[in-house]
Amino acid sequence: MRTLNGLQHRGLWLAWAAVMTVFAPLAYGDGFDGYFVAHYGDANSDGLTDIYLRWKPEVSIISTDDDLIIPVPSSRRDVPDTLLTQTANGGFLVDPGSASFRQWPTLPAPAFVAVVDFNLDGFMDIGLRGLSSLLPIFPTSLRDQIVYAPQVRGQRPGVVKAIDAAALKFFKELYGWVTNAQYFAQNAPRIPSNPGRYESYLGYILEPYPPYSAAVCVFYDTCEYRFGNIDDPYADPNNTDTKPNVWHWWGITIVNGTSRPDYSVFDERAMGAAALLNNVVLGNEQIVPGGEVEGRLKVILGGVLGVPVYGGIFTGGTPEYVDHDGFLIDRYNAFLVLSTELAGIPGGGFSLPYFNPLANAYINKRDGCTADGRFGMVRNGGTKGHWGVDLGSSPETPVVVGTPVYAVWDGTAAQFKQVSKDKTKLDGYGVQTRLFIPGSSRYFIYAHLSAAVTGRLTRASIAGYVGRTGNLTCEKTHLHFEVKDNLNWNQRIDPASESSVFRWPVEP
Amino acid sequence: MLLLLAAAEILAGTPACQSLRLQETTAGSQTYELEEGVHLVFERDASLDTATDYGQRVLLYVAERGVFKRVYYSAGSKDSAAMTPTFIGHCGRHETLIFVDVGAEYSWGFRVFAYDERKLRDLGEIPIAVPGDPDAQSAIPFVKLIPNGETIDLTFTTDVIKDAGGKLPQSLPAHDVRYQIGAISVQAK
Repeated sequence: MRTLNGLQHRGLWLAWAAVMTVFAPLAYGDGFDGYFVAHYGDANSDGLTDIYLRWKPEVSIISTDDDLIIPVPSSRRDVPDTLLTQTANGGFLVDPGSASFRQWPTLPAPAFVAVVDFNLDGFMDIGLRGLSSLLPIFPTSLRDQIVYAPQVRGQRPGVVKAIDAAALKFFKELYGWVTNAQYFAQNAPRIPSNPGRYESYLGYILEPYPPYSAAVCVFYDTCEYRFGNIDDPYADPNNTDTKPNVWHWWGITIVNGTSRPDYSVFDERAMGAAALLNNVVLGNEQIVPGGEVEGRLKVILGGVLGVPVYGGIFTGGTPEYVDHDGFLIDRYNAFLVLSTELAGIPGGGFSLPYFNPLANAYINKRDGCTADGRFGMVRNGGTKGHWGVDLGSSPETPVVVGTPVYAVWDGTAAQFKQVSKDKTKLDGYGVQTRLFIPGSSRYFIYAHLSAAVTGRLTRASIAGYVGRTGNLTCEKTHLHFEVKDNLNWNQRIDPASESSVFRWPVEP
Repeated sequence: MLLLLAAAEILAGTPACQSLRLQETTAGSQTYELEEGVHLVFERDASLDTATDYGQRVLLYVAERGVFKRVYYSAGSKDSAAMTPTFIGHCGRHETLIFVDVGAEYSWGFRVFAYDERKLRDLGEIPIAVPGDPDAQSAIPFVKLIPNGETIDLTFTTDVIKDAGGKLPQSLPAHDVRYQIGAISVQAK
């Protein structure tokens, strides 16, 4: 770390002020932010480990040769430091007292603090993840916890809830729906007496996504006529037509023995799902933000997740989350994070701290001009190395220039450009986003981009856009993704060794 | 129109070997005019590929009665994502030396070609790069050339990486690495 002289300091603050001037009108600082650190100890001497959430703000501006640390004003904090006391039944309670910082150790890896708007109320919550992996600090039976942010600035959070099995399933379904256009066709239970029809469904429309502007039909068999562009799962059970809509089913519905489901029995979890989405049609009622039906759905969803739900219906359009530093959080991806985090996706989910940098990613295989995109000694017949992976997307939908790439973790992004010696063109890695992770020597390179992103990024927010800059000629367009370590620049790190999220299939 | 800008830079204080800045003739392709009626092209021609010899090549086209004909093509650069040339004029006995950096995101070293009397010859490969951020970069800007009779001594002005991108890359001080460019090949000394 180096010390700033007065001029540098003033300059940085001016730059900071300029950033905030741009973003401040969008309203920032709702709920928790990425500066909260979890400490652990036994506050009440009951033999159970408690957690102290402490706001420890600092911003690291990482240059190529040094770090600059800038403190964040305490006025930017929304939620006070909070003590959570563990209960005998595996939960936590918010201590109502005025907590003061205790000299407790910070929560060690692999447990971590995730800042996610779990109940989609516009206020960022905290997920305490991987606690069960910290034996003997916590029992192995302890579930991950969600600390829901208060909706009033300066107040302490009121609710801490464990992520239970119902919530897990709920988000797993949402994840499947959001990430797999065939999810309905592949997963919806059929009516045995009527092949091609489904026991129940909850229809969602995502058009376009991302960002999504969602609509839903909840157990209402004529909803396809209400929206002219809805893809009817009865008429098109395999979702093979050209309509871009996605259908999804959820929940348990009693089949009354006829060829059609009995929609008189609502699955409350399905109703809850509806509260997450916009332009909901329930029966003949149009659900609008602030309306009575929306209120009822919030209550139901709250019952599903066991939490209060405030304002759970998105209004569509542009991203609406802005963090303390004024950076927009992409709503669609915040939603993806939410479902991914909670879903326990095979090869992902709870044990996975990272987010996939490219949707539907495949590793490019050697084909014509395209070189083997795997990590390791895969070039020139095994005599030359490739120290990252080249990611294309689904073979059916090759990645194209302009496709967004995503931050794998919360961090600070910096843009780099590798230029030729004569400065006439980009070479090597081309335009890059390098994502530096607070508290970690690891960083990530997204190379050959058309545009990079700088500043603080929240996991799953856009980190840049796929391009063809740097050393590319006739190869297929791809994202070169590389894991590096600041402490050992020579270390070759196979992304697959970092996380199962990074174990992409090689394209067929 | 083609431009040939000579003597734009002098490498390492050796006036006899001058960097040439040849402008690419056509946007989107890597074609350079070495002299009137002689085009040097870097591209991949799939029809030349075999299982072991593939990738981008250096191709020489010479105009005969107004029609360009390919008179030479080099071995393929295999999985190299780029071939980035640097031209050195009037260096030792060669009219033009062409250093071609190969690699992907990082340099694997460079190939050396000699252009003399409208003919191109592949002199060999120098598997040397230099440390960079975040990985090995081209060593060509750090090459020092000193004509020495019929040969040219090639050294580096900074510490280097040998076998860059290979299985056993080695960091070496500059003074430990020396090559000699002869009439038909380049060899480590």
